[in-house]
Amino acid sequence: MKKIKPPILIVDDNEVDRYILKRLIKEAKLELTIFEKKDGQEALEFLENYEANRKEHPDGFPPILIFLDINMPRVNGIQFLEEFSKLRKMIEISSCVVMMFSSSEREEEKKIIMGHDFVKGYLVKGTFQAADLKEKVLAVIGQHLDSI
Amino acid sequence: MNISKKLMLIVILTTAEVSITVYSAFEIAKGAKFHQLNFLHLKYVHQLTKSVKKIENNIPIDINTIESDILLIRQQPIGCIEEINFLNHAIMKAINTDHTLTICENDIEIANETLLSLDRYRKGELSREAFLLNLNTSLNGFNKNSEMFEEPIRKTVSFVLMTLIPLVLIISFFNIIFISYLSRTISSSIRNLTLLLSSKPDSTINLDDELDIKTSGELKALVIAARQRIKNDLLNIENSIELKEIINSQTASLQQANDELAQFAYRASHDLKSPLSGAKSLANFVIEDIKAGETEEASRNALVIYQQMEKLETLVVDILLLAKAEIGNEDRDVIDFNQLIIDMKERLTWLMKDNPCTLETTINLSVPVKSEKARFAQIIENLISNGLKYYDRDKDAPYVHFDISNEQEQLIITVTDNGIGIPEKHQSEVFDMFKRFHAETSNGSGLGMALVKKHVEYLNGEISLHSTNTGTTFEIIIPMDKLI
Repeated sequence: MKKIKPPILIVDDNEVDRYILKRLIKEAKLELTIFEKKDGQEALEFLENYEANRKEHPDGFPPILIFLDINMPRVNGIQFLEEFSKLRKMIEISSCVVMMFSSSEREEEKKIIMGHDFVKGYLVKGTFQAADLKEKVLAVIGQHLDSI
Repeated sequence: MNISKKLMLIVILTTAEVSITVYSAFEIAKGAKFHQLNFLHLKYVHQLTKSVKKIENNIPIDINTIESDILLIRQQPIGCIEEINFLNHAIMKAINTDHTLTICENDIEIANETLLSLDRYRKGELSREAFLLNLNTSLNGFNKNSEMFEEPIRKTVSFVLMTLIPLVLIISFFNIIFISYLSRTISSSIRNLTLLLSSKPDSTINLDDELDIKTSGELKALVIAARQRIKNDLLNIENSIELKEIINSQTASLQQANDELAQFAYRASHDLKSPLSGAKSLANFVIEDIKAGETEEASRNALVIYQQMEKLETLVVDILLLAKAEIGNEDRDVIDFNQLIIDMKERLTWLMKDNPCTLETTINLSVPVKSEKARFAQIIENLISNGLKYYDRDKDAPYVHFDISNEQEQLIITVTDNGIGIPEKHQSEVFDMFKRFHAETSNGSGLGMALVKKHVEYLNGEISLHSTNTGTTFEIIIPMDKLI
């Protein structure tokens, strides 16, 4: 049987940060299908285009985890969460959870962000290694990775 | 007449009334005193008569008793003369009763003569019969005087009663009327003033003039003082309101500046931290890759680190430029815009190398522009590089046009492109710090347009933008008076 790699989505405008996260995922030996979007707008469009993406990636859509940056052009992380919470009510992505991936740790922002029950973690850029990442990811989506 | 003078007049009239009343009472009492003196005079004359009767009946003469009786008799007219003062005398003279004094003097004279004959009798110069005769003559004189005294005194006293009492009554009556009149004028002027002040404001009446005409004396002074006081108080209130407004607006602008600064610090530290933490992670990867012999990956990541550091440098430089934009620099020179464009093109080689846009620059200045060159260089470079970055891949002939010209009192700079445009909802945020609207091309610091705006504001100018999906135009208008 072909092993299914659970899909995840990285939303960050910074290419370097996306590269770092992807490499850490690789180092942690997490077998995942990775989608990348450069800001909240692109990410929302990707999720909204549900039917077409479902056809295009039969096993890889929708993502089960989103790594979300906060400071991004057009639609930032906080705005994305607002839209995403509406979207969850309309399409079949309620199993998809979010893990923040930002260099900022502002308390007032954190409060708003963690107010969404589908936000399951908060990673601060540059403060974690592959092992920390693995632990946190497994805690959130471990049930999808049992086959590993 | 002012109020205090009216009140003083009331006091004077009342005092006069009381004085006359008291004087009348004294004068009437004095009349009674005269009657009493005459009664005593008669009493002692009676005693002397009894003594004389005893002598006639051959009883020995008690010379000392007789002498003391005569002295007592004489004491009464003396007392009477002492009581009559100058005013009494004048009244008596006027009503023809001044012979009272003559009677008294005559009585004293009789008494003195009697005392003289008593003395002579004592020395034996006078016979008993002769002395007795003298005494009888004196008694006759005394009795006659007492009789005569009553009439003028009664007449005088009744005159005083008949004249002073009506006078007192008349003065009292006059006083009552006059005091009522004065108090009415006082209260009516106060009432008029109250009415005037409590009346509804009427545009046809000038209150100041009305007050001036309708009041006088102390009321006028009171009104003037009250008016002055109210004016001062109002002025103080106005001043304090003005001060409050100034404080409020300054507090608001300070608050705004503080908020902007906090926002700036947050964004700046975030944008500084981001390439640093990226470079840190990458450096770690480079070490791992070198250990694992993956030199290709290592050198690729080293390059990325280098780019991150470049990005950091740009950001730091831009933050410094932004800070400097707030401060005036005295180095003002005539700007050579041709040279400025050449220099700028050199700096933007990296951007223009693979860029399909045609850049056209038109310089049309009739007067030299004198200013800080760096400000114009930064304004022009930021606008042009933005136009070049956000060109539209779907358009055949992408372009960026730069024009600078002067028109009357204004310097006008326009930068027009046919690029992808700025979405309408983001147009109000274009000049905010750390704003980037395009995910594709986000390698700037996000400070460029904020810097442009700071410079334009420093030069007292205005910047506006017009943007649709057919392109974007920025227009800057700067008054020439700061550029000559």
